[in-house]
Amino acid sequence: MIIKPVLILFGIGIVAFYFRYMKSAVLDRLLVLLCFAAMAAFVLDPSLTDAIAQWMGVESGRYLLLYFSILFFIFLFLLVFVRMRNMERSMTLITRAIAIHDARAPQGAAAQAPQNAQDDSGAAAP
Amino acid sequence: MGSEKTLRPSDCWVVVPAYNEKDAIGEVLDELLAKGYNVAVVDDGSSDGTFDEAAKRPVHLLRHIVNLGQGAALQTGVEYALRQGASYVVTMDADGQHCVEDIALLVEPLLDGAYDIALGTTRFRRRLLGQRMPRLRRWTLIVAAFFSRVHPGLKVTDAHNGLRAMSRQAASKLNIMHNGMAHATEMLDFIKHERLRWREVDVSIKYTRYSLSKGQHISNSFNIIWDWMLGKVR
Repeated sequence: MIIKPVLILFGIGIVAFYFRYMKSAVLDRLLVLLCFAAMAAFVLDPSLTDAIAQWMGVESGRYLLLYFSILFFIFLFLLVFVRMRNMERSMTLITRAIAIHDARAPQGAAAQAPQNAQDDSGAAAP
Repeated sequence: MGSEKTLRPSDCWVVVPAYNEKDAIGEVLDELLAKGYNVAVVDDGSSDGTFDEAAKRPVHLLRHIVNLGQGAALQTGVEYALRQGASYVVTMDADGQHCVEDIALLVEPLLDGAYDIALGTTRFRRRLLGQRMPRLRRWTLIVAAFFSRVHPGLKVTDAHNGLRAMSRQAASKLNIMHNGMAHATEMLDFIKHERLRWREVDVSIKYTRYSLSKGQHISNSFNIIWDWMLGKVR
């Protein structure tokens, strides 16, 4: 039974690979192309999946595809998750910068910290 | 700073992150202003007029144009307070569960430079006064405290108490990445990582019906742990 260690290593590999090297969109595209090539091969010769499955110790090609598709979806999830979180971080930084830039000091306290007065409305009024 | 023994209220900045706290925030701000503290309110994209309520008072007002979460609001407020020259930065919840009198107790250990950060805790006070804490709330805090004890190795008794005081040096190192409630656990990571000298100070919590409806629920423990674990995947 070669399938179990392969599946587990593959899963670990995907995660490790992504966080280590997957910085460029080129690699993402390459992966998509690779997946497409595999899909094309399987469609053209369905018995190919059975042959590979048997070589790996899975009873039928259907199950092999199922296993790999699960891993693939996990990979996709991570990809989207990381992108979303990066976007969230940018949004956080932007929102916080706006908040500090537009901060409104109390009227009386303007003289309290003049060295810190930025380009707020207090500077505009002579 | 540092060597004087008594706290000048003008050196102390209280950061109040607020999200939809229109009904409670007014009283909190009035009490803070009466003590002479500088107050920075960070309205975290509230939709209920929290901003306008706070604007009636002489406080520093900051506004997140979208709701980000308490962690982000705290970070914004702390950064602003530092820019304004704060010597001590205190964080306080806007829902009125904390007592303004406790701020002086929290800042006191920082005054002679013996500590960098003081965390409010409810454990001892609860024991002393026999104050009844709702059972569910207690278990939430116990679970949270247990979790944070397992992780960063800080023996805290009340991981999610919102009342904290930091020296200027400590506050300037703060960089909260979690926008949501997991920032409390992150704060403990921060203390450990920066090797801050920390201590807990007994503070009281007012368990009003209002603060109970707004505060931590037991189901939130799971969310906090989940957020924190995802955040570890850098």
